[in-house]
Amino acid sequence: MSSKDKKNINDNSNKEASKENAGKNAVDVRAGKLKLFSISSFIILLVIVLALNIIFSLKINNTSIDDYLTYDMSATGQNSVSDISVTYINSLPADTNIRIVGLFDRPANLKDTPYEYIVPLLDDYVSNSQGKLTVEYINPTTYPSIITELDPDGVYDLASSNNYVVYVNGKIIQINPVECFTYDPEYLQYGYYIPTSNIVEQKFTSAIVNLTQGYTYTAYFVTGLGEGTHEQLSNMLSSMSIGSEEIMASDNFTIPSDCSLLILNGINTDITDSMSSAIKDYLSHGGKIIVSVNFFSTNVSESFPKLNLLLSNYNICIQNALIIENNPGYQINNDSYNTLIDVSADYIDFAGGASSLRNSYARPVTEADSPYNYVQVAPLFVTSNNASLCTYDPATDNLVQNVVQGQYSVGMYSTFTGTPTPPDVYVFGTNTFTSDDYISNFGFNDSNVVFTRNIIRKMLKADDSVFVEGKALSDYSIDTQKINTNTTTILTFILVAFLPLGLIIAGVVVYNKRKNL
Amino acid sequence: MLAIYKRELASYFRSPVGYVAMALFSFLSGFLFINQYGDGMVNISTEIMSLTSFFVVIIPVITMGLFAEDKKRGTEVIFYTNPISMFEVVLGKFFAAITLIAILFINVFIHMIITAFSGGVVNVGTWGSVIVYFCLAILFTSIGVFASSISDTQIVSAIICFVTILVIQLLKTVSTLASAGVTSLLSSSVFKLEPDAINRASNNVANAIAWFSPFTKTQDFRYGVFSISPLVFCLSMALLFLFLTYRILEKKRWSQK
Repeated sequence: MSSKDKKNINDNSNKEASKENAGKNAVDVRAGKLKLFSISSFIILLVIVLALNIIFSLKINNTSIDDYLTYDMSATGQNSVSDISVTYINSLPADTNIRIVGLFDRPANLKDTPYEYIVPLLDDYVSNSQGKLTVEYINPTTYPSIITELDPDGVYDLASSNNYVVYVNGKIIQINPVECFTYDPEYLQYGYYIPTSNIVEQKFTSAIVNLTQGYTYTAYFVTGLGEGTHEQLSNMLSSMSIGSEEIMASDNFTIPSDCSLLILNGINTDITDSMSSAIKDYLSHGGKIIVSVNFFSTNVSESFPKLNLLLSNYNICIQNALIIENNPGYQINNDSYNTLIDVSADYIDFAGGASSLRNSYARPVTEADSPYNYVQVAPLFVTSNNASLCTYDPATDNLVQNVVQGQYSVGMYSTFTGTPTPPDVYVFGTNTFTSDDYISNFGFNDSNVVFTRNIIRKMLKADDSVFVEGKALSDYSIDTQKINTNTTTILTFILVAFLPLGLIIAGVVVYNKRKNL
Repeated sequence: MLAIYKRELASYFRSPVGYVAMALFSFLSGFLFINQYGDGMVNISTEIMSLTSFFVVIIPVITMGLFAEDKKRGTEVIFYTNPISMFEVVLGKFFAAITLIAILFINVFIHMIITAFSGGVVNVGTWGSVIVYFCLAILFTSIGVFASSISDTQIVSAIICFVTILVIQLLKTVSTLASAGVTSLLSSSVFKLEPDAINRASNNVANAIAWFSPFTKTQDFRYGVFSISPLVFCLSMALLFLFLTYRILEKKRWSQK
């Protein structure tokens, strides 16, 4: 091979190598560009996705876009603040600072706890408050200083309470999460808490109202007469800006000067002489009173002579007898003692338009024999014309029924005419208007409870424009008449055994048929 | 895409995978339902939300073979040699998995019908839970698809998917622990901070971590509170993972390794 040929070969191989290098370089450049494109396109998408989500949750003035795009579709608006609360909070001055502090860590798991209805609702308060309300969860175990911050004087036992605290201008109201619901009293006595309605908003809004504008009136509950609790009635009063206090029954009984309303709620023993004169004096200056008594095993032998003597001044008498309803149309579940009563025509509006209300173990409340024309008395509710009475016979320890049938009044109202400060006296012969048991069982929207609220509003001219109704809870129970043990057993077999096993068998068959394909 | 979707969906029923997933789901949902039914109180929302916590097992089973199986058999070359976009391949497989999850959900629809016939309640909260179920299913399936694309074996793919979903499920707990950690760290004498500042810092850390939890974002749906942003979160994150899967698969076209 000549040197010329060798040179040609070298030239050719150099050319091929440079061609190969150029091709390789071109592939490298293309791959590099595609890699860059691939990475940058992913990063751009990542940034867009994150930005989009951050924009949705970004809070400006405590409000985010997400707040505007959230809809409470639940039947009774369980998780949203009603217009009543929103309107009130919006009406407050712009510099109002309402602080709601949960004295525990924010609950992580809400399911099947009272917080299920509280935490989302409080978040909605914040969204609708225009920056006037904040919600925090501060555990005093971790941050002990929160206790002195909320309660510098140590008036309340906040440290061990696990409560919510509503704080406005140095004043606080505690709210126990468990008390944000009403419960079925029948189960409550056995220690089971079966909620019947949700009053979370009612509790928080009334606390906010009472802290920002103060209580307008004060109601006094007389205690020490064998009465039941009055927690639910106090809740209702609080929601009407009426504070609740207690006065103990005693021989030195005096009624405080700030008493706007005196309540003898479900008493079982008679009042004392000093109470009688104090109450008479109180009523003579335009006082307001609600008395409720029933006829039950706790008071069958109590005829309330001193109370009746006092009430005779207002032409009212509580009889010591039990009303038996003989008209099946008025009986509830064929029970002669748990019955319906007709509302007098003048008071139908007070019962929210209901013409009949619930009644249980009632005493007749009738007119006394007052000769004075200035005493105006009117029945509130009456039984059917077929009711009869029975009385307690201590000798035989039995009830003795009177066969004579007639119509009996279960509640009376009395006032005076021709006086500048007339009293207002409401007497109920049943506890179904004021007792905790009743209100817990039937909730704040029940007609009996609405009636009580309306008469209080009428007496005190209390503005309850910020009163929030209780919200009925979903009842998930199934109809026990439609299911029985057999149905449950069959369903268990089908859903838990037959169906999964059938599918496993099908899988095995398919696998065996196809494993050799 | 439709051809891939049909092929992938049919493959679930040509192998035991689909049947195992269906059997597992019907047993779990049936057990949860009967537990409530026996007590006389049926809240379908509770059943659905409990089922979403089983996604950690069900989704890896369903998605582990989507790409890993093709790689193992060498059939993935078909996707690269056919005139079809790789994104369509990803979508086809993704929708096939979602369809299987929807088929599993028929169990819950049967429970709803039984509840309604038994005088129980199927309310707006129930439908809220159904929305949450499918949103979470879309998000986790996209993670499963991604996990399948980055591994060559089904087991590895299932483990990656399982761990990722588990971490997401534990985000809320992690946020609480992180908050406590930040509190104890800042409370030490090194940082001389006011309790308020410590509180704010720990809350911010907790909120930042919990922000990524789809479970926290969607928890109000079961109470009948519907919100757009959780849906946007789930769907946009799912899109991100699908796009990432597409990019991983596309890499083979240009990568020289």
